[in-house]
Amino acid sequence: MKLNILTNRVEKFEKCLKTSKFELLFNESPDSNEYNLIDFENCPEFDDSFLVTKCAYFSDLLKGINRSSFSRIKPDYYICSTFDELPFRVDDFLKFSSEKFKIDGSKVFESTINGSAEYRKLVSKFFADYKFHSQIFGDRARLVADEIISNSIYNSPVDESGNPLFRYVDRSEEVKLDEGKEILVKFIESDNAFVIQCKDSYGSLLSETVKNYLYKEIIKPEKRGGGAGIGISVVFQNSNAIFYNIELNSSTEVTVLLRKFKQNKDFEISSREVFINQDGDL
Amino acid sequence: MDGDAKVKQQFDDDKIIVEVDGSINENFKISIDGFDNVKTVDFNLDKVKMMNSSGVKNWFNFIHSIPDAIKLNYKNVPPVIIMQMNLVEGFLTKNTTVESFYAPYYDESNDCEVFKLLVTSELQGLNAPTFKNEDGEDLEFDAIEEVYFKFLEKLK
Repeated sequence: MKLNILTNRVEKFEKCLKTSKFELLFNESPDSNEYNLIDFENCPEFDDSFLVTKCAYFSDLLKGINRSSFSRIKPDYYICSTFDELPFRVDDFLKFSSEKFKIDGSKVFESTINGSAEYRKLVSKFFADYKFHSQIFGDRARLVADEIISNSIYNSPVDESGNPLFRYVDRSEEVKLDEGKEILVKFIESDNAFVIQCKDSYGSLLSETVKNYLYKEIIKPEKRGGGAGIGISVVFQNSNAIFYNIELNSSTEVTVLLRKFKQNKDFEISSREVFINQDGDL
Repeated sequence: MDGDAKVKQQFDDDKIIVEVDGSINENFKISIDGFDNVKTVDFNLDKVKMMNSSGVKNWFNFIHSIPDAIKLNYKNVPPVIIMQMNLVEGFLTKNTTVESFYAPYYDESNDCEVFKLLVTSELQGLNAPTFKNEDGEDLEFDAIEEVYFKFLEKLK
């Protein structure tokens, strides 16, 4: 499996994975069989923002833990002393989707989208009606949803030979997806986050493509292509974490997490991360 | 489609006043007939709800088609546009001014966000002005000044 981590802590994370011994500290939610990863021992390079991001993500993965394999240091805390003892692999560790991490949220919307007209109607209506805790947050969520769904509809579809169907079509032109190739869109909200997820049935997005757009030094609309070429940058600036789960030639699932903060200022200084998991062959 | 931006234009002597209402997106179309005798185009963006990346592209193409000699002036710019101004290279051309824009503030006592209209010429450097709520308590500027006011540096 090819795994890419696109954060400003790539080197540090790789170093951690190569470490033969490091400790992960979990705490247990008192009323359920859930665990939160709350600390990395002996990995001082990881700062708090990385840990906070990861906390919510491990609960489901740790349900099957044999607790006797952990030393218990306090009533609610466990330490695992080597990575090998964990019941999940690196692949699981970093392969995310909204079902795989627990944010204790409820699904507020789910639908299949069969084309551009439907997507525009969805974004327009849902975000006009939905009440967010702040206007600026709602504006961000709307923009993120618009960008990732639009990309799914126009950039993902390919023909049997892998040639793009709508990538060079102007975004004002209506396009319709083939039957059975609809996009699945979900919105999930919890006390601490809003999640937007979009899954297509093509799997044509390449991790290199994501990186190329993210690493652009100058963000400026492109003349070629139907879109502006800045959508991924816009999403990155307006979210806390983007997860790409790519099964080449099968599906691409993009999950975007927007953490809720009491104040907009806290969002502006919060971390931004991108994770790309790509499986399969071209 | 519902929500797509509607554009109104009116000529006022040597100025064109353009008002945009709605979402600036892939369907955004604007053209101005005749720049003869026009010195300034004023954009009132008070009612803009969203500008996505396709909207940025269409806006970009439009403003870059306006003759260089004509000044562009943005008024009542909402945070959704400020974000794009800060992010996108070339959004603000060299003949552009931003007369006024909205900035987020936080009212701690009432636990709510408040948007204040700032006039660029009244700002002192990159320092957000202070405001008070109805009870006389200070509102907190709810953004990072260097980040939110980045577009002002591009105008220099």
